[in-house]
Amino acid sequence: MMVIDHDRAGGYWGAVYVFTALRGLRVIIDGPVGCENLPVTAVLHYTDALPPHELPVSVTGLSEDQLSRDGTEESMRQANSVGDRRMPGVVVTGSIAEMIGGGVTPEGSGLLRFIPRTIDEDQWQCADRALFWLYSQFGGKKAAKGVRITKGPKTAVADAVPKKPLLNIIGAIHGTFNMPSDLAEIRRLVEGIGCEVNLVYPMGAHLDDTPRLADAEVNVCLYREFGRQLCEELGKPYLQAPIGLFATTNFLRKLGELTGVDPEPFIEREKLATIKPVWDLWRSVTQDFFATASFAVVATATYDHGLRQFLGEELGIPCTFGHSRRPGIKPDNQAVREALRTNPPVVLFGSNNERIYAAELGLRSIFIPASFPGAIIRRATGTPFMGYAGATYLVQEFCNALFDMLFNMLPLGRDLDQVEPTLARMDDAPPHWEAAAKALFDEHVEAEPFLIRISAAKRLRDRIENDARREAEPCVTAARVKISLAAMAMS
Amino acid sequence: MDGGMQAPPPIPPDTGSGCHGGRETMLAAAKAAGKGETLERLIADYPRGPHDQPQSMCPAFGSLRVGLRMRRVATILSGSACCVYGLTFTSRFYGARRSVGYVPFNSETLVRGQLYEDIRAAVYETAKPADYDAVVIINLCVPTASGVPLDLLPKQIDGVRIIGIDVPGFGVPTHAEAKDVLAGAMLRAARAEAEAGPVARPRGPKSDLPTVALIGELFPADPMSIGGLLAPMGLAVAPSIPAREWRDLYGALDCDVAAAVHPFYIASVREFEAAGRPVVGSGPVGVEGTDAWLTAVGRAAGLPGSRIDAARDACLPALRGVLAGNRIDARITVSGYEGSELLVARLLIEAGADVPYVGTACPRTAWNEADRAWLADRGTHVQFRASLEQDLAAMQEVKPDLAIGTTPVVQKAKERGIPAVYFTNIMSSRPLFGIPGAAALASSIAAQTRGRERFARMVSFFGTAPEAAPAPAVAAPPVPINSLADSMGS
Repeated sequence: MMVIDHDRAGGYWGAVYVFTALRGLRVIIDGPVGCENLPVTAVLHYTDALPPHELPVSVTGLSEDQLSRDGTEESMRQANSVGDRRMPGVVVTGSIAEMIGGGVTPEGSGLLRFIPRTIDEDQWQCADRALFWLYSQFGGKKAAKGVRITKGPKTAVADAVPKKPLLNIIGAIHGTFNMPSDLAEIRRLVEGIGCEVNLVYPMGAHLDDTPRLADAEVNVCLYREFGRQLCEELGKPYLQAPIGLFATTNFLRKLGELTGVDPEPFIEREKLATIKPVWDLWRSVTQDFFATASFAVVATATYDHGLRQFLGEELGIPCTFGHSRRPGIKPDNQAVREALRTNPPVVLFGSNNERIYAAELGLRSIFIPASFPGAIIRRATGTPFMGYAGATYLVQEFCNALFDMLFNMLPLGRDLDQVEPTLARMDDAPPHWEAAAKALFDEHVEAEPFLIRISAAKRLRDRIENDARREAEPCVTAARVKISLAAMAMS
Repeated sequence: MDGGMQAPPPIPPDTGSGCHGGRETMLAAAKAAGKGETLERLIADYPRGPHDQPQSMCPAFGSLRVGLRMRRVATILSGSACCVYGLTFTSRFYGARRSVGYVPFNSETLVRGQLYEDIRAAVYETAKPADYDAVVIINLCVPTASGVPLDLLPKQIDGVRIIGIDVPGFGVPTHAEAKDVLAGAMLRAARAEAEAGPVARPRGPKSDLPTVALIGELFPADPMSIGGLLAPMGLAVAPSIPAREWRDLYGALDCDVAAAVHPFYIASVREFEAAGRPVVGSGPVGVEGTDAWLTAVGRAAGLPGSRIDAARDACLPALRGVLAGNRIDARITVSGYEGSELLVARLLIEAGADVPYVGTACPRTAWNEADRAWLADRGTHVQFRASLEQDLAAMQEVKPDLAIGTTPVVQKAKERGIPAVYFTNIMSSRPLFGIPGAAALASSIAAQTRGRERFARMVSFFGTAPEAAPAPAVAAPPVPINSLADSMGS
């Protein structure tokens, strides 16, 4: 079996992207220098805009000697000697270290070990386990007992200010397409209806916050690829973050049900603000094209499902094909290439892979980035796919893609004008020709080959008469004929 | 002086330490001497990092890039998904917009030996003569360590060559040297073909002039500039290595002299030597470098002194003029993993720059010996197999006007308000040789150093980045999320 243009990393990348999202945790990668360079220095720069040494990651830098002679423990000791050693550290193994049984933590090093199973799992399967592992390691006794620290002894003050329902947003990790925008939007939504974000986890949270995961009464799982295992473990109701107008409304209503807040005032306000453009564009003539301007999507299961649901089901835009990047299932990119060839969409949501295939096929499809792999930074928070803001962004970008398509189809004036002129006859009476001028003219026309003499004569006469008019000469003189002939010879 | 650069000193044993020895050697030497230049001492004493390896991308990237850049060549990776994903991802930035094949495995197929069968099937599936001249299959760490036997693959399928190489990240020290692994393997195959009978002629007009084959991924205009330098002595450039097309390999091997402009192509040099071609090191940078290089090439080609002088006279006065008219008045540190670091430093120094430190991830070889000696004569510390900590220590000690470095060096420099550029992106993407190299350098350096006030303003605005503190990837205050929610008060 051969795969082309593999679209997701192996296990330990997922673990690294989870662990480095937390504050207060060091990560040591056991492997050659490339095992740090690729996931962190190289790829996170092109996806998350991180400079190379932003995260507390070190690598053991295994070489032939460690593999064949020295073993990996001394390398581990040295890698563990940098950074703030008061911070807990976790060791993950790249594939070669996994194969030779590396990742062994020296006695007394205080290092923890997470086994990514990087040869067998992909980055999302492993990220799912890594999130769960964090809670099982650092969730603490409070979590085990299900104690909620916010429900301490009630005081008068606590009674006076009613507590907002607490909620976690789970699954914000590095190396996830468009995460900052989606996260910001989900936070805006849940706070908008009157809930309070207890923890965004793990991104930006501190390792010591981990036990507080138990404090929330509802969890929002950002992605379908990972995070559910932790949500299950937390034992509270959890909702999948929504993509689409009605999906988001359902999400808010369900959240209201679960927490006892009333989402309707917020939804009403949103109709006049965030999602007003959806209503506006729906009533516009551009919507006329929705039924015929197709789209295709190749993206993670979260985005693929969401885009098909929103654009296809809610807005009625025909979907030519959709391919999901699903955990644990190898991609069939030959099939994607073939689908693009046989059924090219007007608008293509995807990754750089699909962009290359479309370029190879010479397709005119308008490309909208919707997935990794590809060098695309999305740290600004204005490009959500999720929530109400996401619905507006997606409709807007779909319409802009149609405008782009039209722009490319419209004829370019410069090309249109490359044709024989068809000029009007001049209305004013032809100017008077002096005899000498006429003689000179006839002499010149005689010199033209017979075959083209008529058109040459006409061209010459038009030119001379036009020149004379432009210069406001009362009649055509021999001098005028000479000047115009000279000018024509020059041009 | 018939030997000269034709018979370079033997390549020093590859201890991975380079001219300044390993950490221990250097520490001992420094102690024994009881004194020494600050920088020497500092480099010896560098704070130890998480490991002692030279800086590099994942080495396999070098081989992948060379394959992807060639016409009618398909590349298939055999490795774990992390490696394949990352390498494919990066190749879309530095390689080509081209599909990369991947033969997956899991712990079970690896143990059962199924992986080799899968590779064989993938190779047969890909090797279509209508599409490709060659299929490259690269064993990454795990298949190499597991001994997946690529040498058992057929040498060709319907005329499509199968080139199998092992490029483990633990075994090949830098991505630069991994380029040589593939280039060398291709040259070996091409040499065998050429020795066995007639082969295709490279495209382009046939020249009867003796040729010089340039070794190293050069800026596209550089071979043309070098061709201009060689023309007065009746030499032309052969296709370069790494090659752009299979038939160019024959053209390169057919040269009269091979020029190891990038000094780490050890396997490729071996093939040229096996083909009986003399090899010269260094490159035509600046006045002195060009002078020495033209002389060495001319001698290696067996040309009379008058012809060599003709080539020298044709370019050296002009080069001198260009360098005099484009002075660089700046202190610069150079570190990188491309292999051309010493050449860049030479040009900088000839243009007037003060370059106290050059670090390269590549090893000391016979082919950069002349450059090393030239730099050492001018008091430049040359660090082979440089680690990040050595590069950083030098940059912090020197406080340059411009740090040309690897990505972490650039990050550290910019955090300190020092203008800095990434060697790979900025220095490797401009001419280096002949008049164009000399002419473009000064303005490029001036443009980079001019921004010092902007760097300082940014530093004073953002403050010094706390060491090793992870930044949340979202635009949110770093501390308590709850208090943020509270302050928003919704």
